[in-house]
Amino acid sequence: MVLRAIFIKELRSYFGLFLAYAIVAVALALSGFFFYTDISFFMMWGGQNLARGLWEFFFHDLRYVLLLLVPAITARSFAEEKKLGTLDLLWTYPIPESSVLLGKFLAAATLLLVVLGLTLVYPFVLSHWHPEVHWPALIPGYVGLLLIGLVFISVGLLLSALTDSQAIAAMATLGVLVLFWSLTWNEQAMSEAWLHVLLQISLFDRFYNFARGAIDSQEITFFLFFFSFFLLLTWQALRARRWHGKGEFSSLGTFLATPSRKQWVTVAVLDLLILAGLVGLQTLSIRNNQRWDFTPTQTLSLSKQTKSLLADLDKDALLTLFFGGSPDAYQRYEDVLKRFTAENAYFQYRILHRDRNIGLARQYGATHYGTAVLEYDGQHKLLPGAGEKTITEALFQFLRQEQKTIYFVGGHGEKDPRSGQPQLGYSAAASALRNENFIIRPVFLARTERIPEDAALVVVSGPQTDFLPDELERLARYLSAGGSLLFMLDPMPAPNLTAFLAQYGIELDQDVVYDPQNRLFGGDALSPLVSLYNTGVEIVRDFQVGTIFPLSRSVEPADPLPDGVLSAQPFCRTGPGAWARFRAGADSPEGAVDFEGTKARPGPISLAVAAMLRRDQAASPNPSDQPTNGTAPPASADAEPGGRLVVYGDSDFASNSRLSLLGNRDLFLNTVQWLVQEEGFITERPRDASIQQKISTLVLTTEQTRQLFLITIIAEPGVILLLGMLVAISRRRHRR
Amino acid sequence: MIEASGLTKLYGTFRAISDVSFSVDHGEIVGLLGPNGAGKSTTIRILACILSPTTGTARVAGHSVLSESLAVRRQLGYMPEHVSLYPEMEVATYLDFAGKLKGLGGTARRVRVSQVIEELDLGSVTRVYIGTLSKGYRQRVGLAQAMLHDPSVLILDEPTIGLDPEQAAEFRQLIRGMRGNRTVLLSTHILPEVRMTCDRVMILARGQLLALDTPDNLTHRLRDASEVVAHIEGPQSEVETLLHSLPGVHEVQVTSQGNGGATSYTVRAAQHEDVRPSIVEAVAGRGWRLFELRSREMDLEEIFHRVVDQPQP
Repeated sequence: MVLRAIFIKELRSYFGLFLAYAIVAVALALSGFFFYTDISFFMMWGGQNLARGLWEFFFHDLRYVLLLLVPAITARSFAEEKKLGTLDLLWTYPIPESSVLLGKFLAAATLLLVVLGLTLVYPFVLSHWHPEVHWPALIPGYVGLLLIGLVFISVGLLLSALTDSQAIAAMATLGVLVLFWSLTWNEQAMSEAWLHVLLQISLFDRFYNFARGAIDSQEITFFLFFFSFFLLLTWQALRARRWHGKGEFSSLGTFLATPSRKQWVTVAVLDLLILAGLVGLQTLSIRNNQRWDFTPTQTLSLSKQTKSLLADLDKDALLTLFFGGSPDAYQRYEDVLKRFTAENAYFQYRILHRDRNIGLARQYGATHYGTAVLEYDGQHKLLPGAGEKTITEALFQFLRQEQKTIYFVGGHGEKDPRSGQPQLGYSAAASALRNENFIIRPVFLARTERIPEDAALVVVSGPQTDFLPDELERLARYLSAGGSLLFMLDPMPAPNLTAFLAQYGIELDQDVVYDPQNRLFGGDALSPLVSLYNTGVEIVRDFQVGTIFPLSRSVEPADPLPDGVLSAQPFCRTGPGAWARFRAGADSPEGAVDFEGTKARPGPISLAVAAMLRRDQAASPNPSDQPTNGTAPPASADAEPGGRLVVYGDSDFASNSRLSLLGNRDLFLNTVQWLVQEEGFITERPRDASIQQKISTLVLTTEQTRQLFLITIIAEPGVILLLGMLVAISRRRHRR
Repeated sequence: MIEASGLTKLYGTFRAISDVSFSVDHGEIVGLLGPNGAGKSTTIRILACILSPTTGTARVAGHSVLSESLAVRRQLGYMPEHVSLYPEMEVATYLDFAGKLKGLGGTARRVRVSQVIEELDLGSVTRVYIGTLSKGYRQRVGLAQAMLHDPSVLILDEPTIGLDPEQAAEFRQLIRGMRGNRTVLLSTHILPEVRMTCDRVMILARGQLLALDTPDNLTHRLRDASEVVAHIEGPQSEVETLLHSLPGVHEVQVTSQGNGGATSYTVRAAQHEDVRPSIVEAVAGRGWRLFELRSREMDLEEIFHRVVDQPQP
């Protein structure tokens, strides 16, 4: 009852105070401004990954709002009462200090909740324009903000209880909080042991995972312990009023001479014991951490591929990370490494400062900050970091020993797997393949009688000229022997190739795909964005990421299919707003209409077809009249499948500059794995932090942006300010 | 009702009060007198459980202020110096809030709040913000909150400071009305107030308790001489000589010069000597005219100054 009375009185005094409204209004204007700039930033960068990225930035920014808001809220709680003398009067009432403290704590927390609640207007407004606001992903961020806010409040209450000046209380609170914030700024000067300790108490770094969309039980207990301890200190400060004297701290001599030093020492010892206990509990809680991942794509959990690899790990694997960069990297890597160890205890790691372990680093050849070394079964491998993707690829190579060879056809101006050129090079694709344990070799059809025996796959990556009939003959033979072919063909006239592919039921037109609707912000209409997949095809089963095909042509299965073809299925399609525009002078087939002055076929346009050939008939590539439904699922199981063939109407999607865009890399690797008949490896791979997850193009019109500005920065704080003015006016009227 | 034994409080190395012991009976009204910095507030704040003594103990209403401070505070009403209340609260809201903190339940609280409002004549200001109240009203609200839970002990720190004479008189009336029901300890430096309201006086100076007695006893105890004021018309030097020659007279002082009329003399004699009859006789014998002759009582102010100015033992 006492607690409730204090709580209600505190709340009433907040809500009766114009200053409180003004502070809340400023905080809201500031967070509105952050939201507005964050969202502008996001639109500028392609509006990608709204589900996570936008909120992550926004939550990080809200911390700064709390950093300013909370000291302003808490400063008055004790300082003002001390100045008025009302606190002394309160202590003559039959109430314990704890009730007063908790009442004030809860009142400040309620005000904090109100402010946080008012920021929910932003996602609400956004969800009106953009249906993809993933509400559950906001939960961890808000839980984290609440927890960090409670810690701020407990620090603010302590400092308010130590002084009778609101200004000093506010400034000191801000100072202490900034100190906690800046703890890890000068990370270069610290050893790994110290950095580890400091990261444990660095409030702002502990917020990292909440903002990203995961709740860790260890972080919750950390914040709970943190503010409980500060509340304990505040409670002691309130009780100490009874026995400590004025001027006790003017010098050590006077302090030692005071009779209350005994009590101070007792309190200090008690606090150290409690602190040690809390640290112990926290250690336990770290050991038993439980993670709740609220991200729509489970970004903060290990990927399926990593988990299945770790399940096969049955010998010790040791990863040594030589850090020296920012503590951000340290923490992010440690977070990942912890997950690996939690998944399989055979995986162990250590994190060492490179400059302090220079001998060991040299021995491993770790020349850079952030280099990691993975040791397994007597082998070791240098890794450029300790991200999930990097480690998983290295594990993959250790665990999947069998190597298959992929031949890249050369001689027609194909994109070169050895070239690092952004547009025309395929080195990134080649290295991704090597990471999946493939050997990459070139092959020149004009000079080779036959495709080498060990070829698991032959890739034709964007030829600039047509193939000679001889060359195609070799490919056909290889295919009929059960080989696999991957064609990636850009828009260009190549009658021989077109005829060759037509034998396998794959039709290429002389066109360019144009999509004015579905494209990335900043991208042009010639780079269609694909988000429709035929999930009946193994390659894109469970595939949910968008892919981008700059300058592409249409690829359609023939209807009916030729006899030797078991199935030919399109699996990547543009949206219905796309067009296939025919080249001038090319034959435009039926269904072509006028589109902006040229002949065109309306979307959806297929950009890739996967075909399976019959083993027995693959050798006779003669078109048959027997009708087969092109989009039917693969034919009966008794027909033994032969060669495999995938044709993309684009080769740029796997070039160095595009491979890391959205899901391009996964699509490319999945295609290869399907072609080499390793469907087991068609999987969702771990991603680089920079690679976006789920495509959700966020485009707001100028009008919407203006409305957003008005609502978040002007209207909401304005309403609060107006309320404050009404309260102030009614109070003034009320006076006699 | 209040028992203090050996109370000492050190602020750092400064001794605010030193070995203060006293006791106050039930229903007594005791005034605590002392110059600024004498330790009045410290003593009062220890009894009100705001501070702990460095050494010594105190019991209020039978409970120790150290180990049973909650029980003490249930029996205790305190009104601080410069009555500090929440300026942004209305009187009625504030009293209701105070009642809740003092553990009064729903109906009991409403009854008590309206009782003290009536008792202290606050009915006209119940919906006024405390910050806008006049000093007198604020003082009454301060007393109202102290009396709210019907405490057996009231401790008032400078209750009439800043009140106009009429308000102060009213206030004293109010406190006198509590005699016999409540134990009241009030600090003040207005001496007549003590005489008017208190049963006993406690004098503190330099952190030490110098005296605790009824005003009459104190007067009696401290009287070391009798004083007589005489108004005599006659030649001044002769009158002085005559008065000096009277038996028992220590000292004669000319208090005011008569301009052709009577001169006023103050005659000090030994404590139990009444020199008035001999003055009458002697003056009449010389044929001078005696206009006035009276014995002068020591007032509290003198006692106070005498006590306070006593050299330290």
